[in-house]
Amino acid sequence: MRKTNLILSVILIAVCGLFYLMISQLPSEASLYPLFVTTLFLILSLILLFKTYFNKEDGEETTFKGIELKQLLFVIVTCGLYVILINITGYVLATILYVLITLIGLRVDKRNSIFISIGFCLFVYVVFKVLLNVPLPKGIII
Amino acid sequence: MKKILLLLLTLTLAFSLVACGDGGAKEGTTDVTDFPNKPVEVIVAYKAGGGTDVGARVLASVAEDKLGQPLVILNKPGSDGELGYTELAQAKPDGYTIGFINLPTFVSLTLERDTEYEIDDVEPILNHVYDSGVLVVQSSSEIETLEDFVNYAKENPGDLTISNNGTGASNHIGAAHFAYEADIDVTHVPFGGSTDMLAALRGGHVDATVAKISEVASLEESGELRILASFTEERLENFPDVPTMKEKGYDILFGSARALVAPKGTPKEIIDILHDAFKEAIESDEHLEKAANADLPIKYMGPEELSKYIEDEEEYLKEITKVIDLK
Amino acid sequence: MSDMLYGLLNALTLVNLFAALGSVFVGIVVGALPGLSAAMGVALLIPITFGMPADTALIALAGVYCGAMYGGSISAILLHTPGTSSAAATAIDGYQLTLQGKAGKALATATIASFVGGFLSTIALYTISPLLANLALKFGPTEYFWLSIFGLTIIAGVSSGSMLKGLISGALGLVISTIGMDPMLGIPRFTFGQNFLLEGLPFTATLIGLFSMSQVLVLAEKKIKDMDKIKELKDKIYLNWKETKRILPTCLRSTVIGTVIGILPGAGGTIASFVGYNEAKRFSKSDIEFGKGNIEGVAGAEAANNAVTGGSLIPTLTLGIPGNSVTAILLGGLVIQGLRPGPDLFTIHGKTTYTFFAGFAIVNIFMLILGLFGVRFFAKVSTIKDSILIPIIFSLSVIGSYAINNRMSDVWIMFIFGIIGYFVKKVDLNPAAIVLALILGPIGETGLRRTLIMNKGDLKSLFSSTISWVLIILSVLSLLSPIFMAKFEKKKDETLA
Repeated sequence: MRKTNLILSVILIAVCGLFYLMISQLPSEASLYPLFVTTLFLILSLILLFKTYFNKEDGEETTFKGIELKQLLFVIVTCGLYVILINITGYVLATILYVLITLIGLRVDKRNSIFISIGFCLFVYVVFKVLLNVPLPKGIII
Repeated sequence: MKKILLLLLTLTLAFSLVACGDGGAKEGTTDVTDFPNKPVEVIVAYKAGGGTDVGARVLASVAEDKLGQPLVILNKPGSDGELGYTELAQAKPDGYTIGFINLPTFVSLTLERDTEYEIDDVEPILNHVYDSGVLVVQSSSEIETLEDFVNYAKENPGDLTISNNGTGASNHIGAAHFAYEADIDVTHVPFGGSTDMLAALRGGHVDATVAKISEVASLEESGELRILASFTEERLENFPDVPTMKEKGYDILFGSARALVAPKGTPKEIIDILHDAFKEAIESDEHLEKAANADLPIKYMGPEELSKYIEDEEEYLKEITKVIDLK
Repeated sequence: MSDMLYGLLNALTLVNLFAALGSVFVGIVVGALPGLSAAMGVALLIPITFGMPADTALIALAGVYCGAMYGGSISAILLHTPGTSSAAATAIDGYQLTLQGKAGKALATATIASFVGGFLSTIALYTISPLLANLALKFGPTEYFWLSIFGLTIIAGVSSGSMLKGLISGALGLVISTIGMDPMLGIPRFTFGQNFLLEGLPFTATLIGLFSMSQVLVLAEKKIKDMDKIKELKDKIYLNWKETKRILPTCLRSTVIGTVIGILPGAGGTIASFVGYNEAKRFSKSDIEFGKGNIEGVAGAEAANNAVTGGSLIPTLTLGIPGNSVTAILLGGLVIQGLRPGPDLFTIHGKTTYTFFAGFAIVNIFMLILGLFGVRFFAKVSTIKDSILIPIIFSLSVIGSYAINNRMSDVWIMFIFGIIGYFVKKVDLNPAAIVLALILGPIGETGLRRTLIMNKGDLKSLFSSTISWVLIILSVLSLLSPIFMAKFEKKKDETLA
């Protein structure tokens, strides 16, 4: 956990830096409270940094061990593309495609994947649009 | 598995039929002569159940009959109403999408920030509600009259606290304008909305508040609050004992209005049809009774009068924000 | 009294019973779907109730409100994707139980606890409404400031791992809660020039990202063969008598907590469920199991958030001051029906009001029946393969974050916080603490700054009321106990830490 914690505290301190930078552009009256909470955040992050740095006992590094990185990236990318696609084709079409591709990518057999993607979409359409009257995202085309 | 397949197929079929049917119905013509030949959508830029929404639904329920087509209320809340206003401004100007705007918010948003709509993106139909501003204190307060209020503030500058519904929001402007005219120093305390603002007064956490008459009418009647003055031209009909700011020498008119508008470019004939139907609805007994139950102060204004009112409001806000400090 | 009897009988008419049953069902579905909250369910129903008689309309609204509050726990327990923010605390122990194959037990606990909380808060509504209503008015800016401080002390309690990381998570939540318009001055802070950020981060979208989408990514990093492993339900579905007895004191304590917090405008279900969870942990004999799948944790959170339903109605009905966004919408529903909040509700409109109250109790009974009946089916969800859950949860997250404001920018916020949430989970920071701080931050900031404006910057005014002192003492107690507990635990399992 030691390495993770060191990187984490550095990132957190960087986030503090970013906020300090933005605070400096605020009028002084409005900056007081954000300054206070950001400083609190900074102090805690520094404590983590020092605590980890001086604690030489190194537990085993398990944080990102044994994860399927390619698969994880695949899911993140398809999710992102899906949201972009919704803007173009609207919710229904994008969802059928997205669910189908994700399922096949995760090795669900093809026939089931097709059933699930269409079935889920129907379920969503009926429950949200027809029964609950919740608007579904619209795209440029639909 | 086969059964599931069959079921899915049937559902898909039903689904496509529904989708087609839906598409077919939406293909209304913009032919003016038979307007309206399909339901009219009414955009409300605030949450379902909020003040604007209640007003819209009360009016819509009566106006449907007069118009001969259903009115579908669509709530589009977000960014203080900007989201809904933008959608309204950008809607197809065929009369099938109209909406409610709140004044002065509709105008003041464009002055405060770079909004995605402009004031003249909409075509006025008519005004529905006019809610007058009032200055109120708790009935247990030592301050009995407007003179007491001003005198106390002069003797103890900055001591009197007035709650409002947000920095730069309508009630803040009213309170600050009054303080400016009376030349007194008071402390404005912003709250998240008019309910919180009023709760702060009722709990005795602040000394006074500037509210709308519909929000405090029942509390004055129950003896919990006292109205010191109204920001109106003439005395309020239901509170003839309450003086106006004007008669006390402070020339301030202040209140909020809710009006029905259509996107710019909607044909004049259609505006007229809508106007006539809604006017008839507003003046009907059924509507007036429902409105009284919901504490809605009704004030009809025609398109020209409303248009003038919006212009005046813009003028007023531009002027007043120059002289008073809203920070 | 006759009004009460009339109300009870009226609520038992076929139409009203049907409205109660149907609306609870809809409420449970709305609550269980990630992202659709109780507020949304009630808002969706308002237009429909417009055409109904007042009493039936109100019962239907109550049904959706209570059903959704409970329904949120189902997805929180089964998928670690709380359907509503008030179920975030339920997810802590509930999901652990699901991982152990005890989904049925967790669901049954949530059902019973929700029923106890909801039903008993109805009784509070009947009996002590006017008495408690004034509490809502006594809470001014100073008291809200201290309430938020008290709420923040819970972070120490909900951090199951490292306390320092729990505190860091809380501080992070406070920092991002400052995004948006300065509440006192109206100046934009950290909005990156985006208008939609002026009112702050869209809370629901942020929550869905932190909990639901991050969960999708956690599932996605697993090996395919682990994903396909079918999780079995190892446990008997329902609670046995011993377990029921074990959660009962927790339920009762959380009911009181939920009712009181429900009364306070602006506090709401999320804070109540976290306080309920934290107190359950403090009083429990087996507090070490908390965070690892303790039914008392589930009960503590669920009883509290359902008790909020009755509590939040108290100031809504008696004073016209809604306790949260749901009751704000409900208040609109009342006004549309021509019922003005205040003493008149209990005299002139007594028949309708007491029908509503009786309906509220009936709604809770239906909720119990539907819930217990449904546990068997709900629990099956936990056996669905992860590879199928991944696209489905994300797709529902998209709808949930879109539907609040109908804008795609919220979906992107959800996406960003989904990725942040994934790393947050990986490095042992605490998403629950972030959410808690996100809610409490603005309450505390506005409370403090209003107090200072009203008293010309005099800090002594923060210590001037009795309620403030009660909250200060509660905060100190809440802060000290986990420190003692931590020391105690450390001695016990030095090596594991």
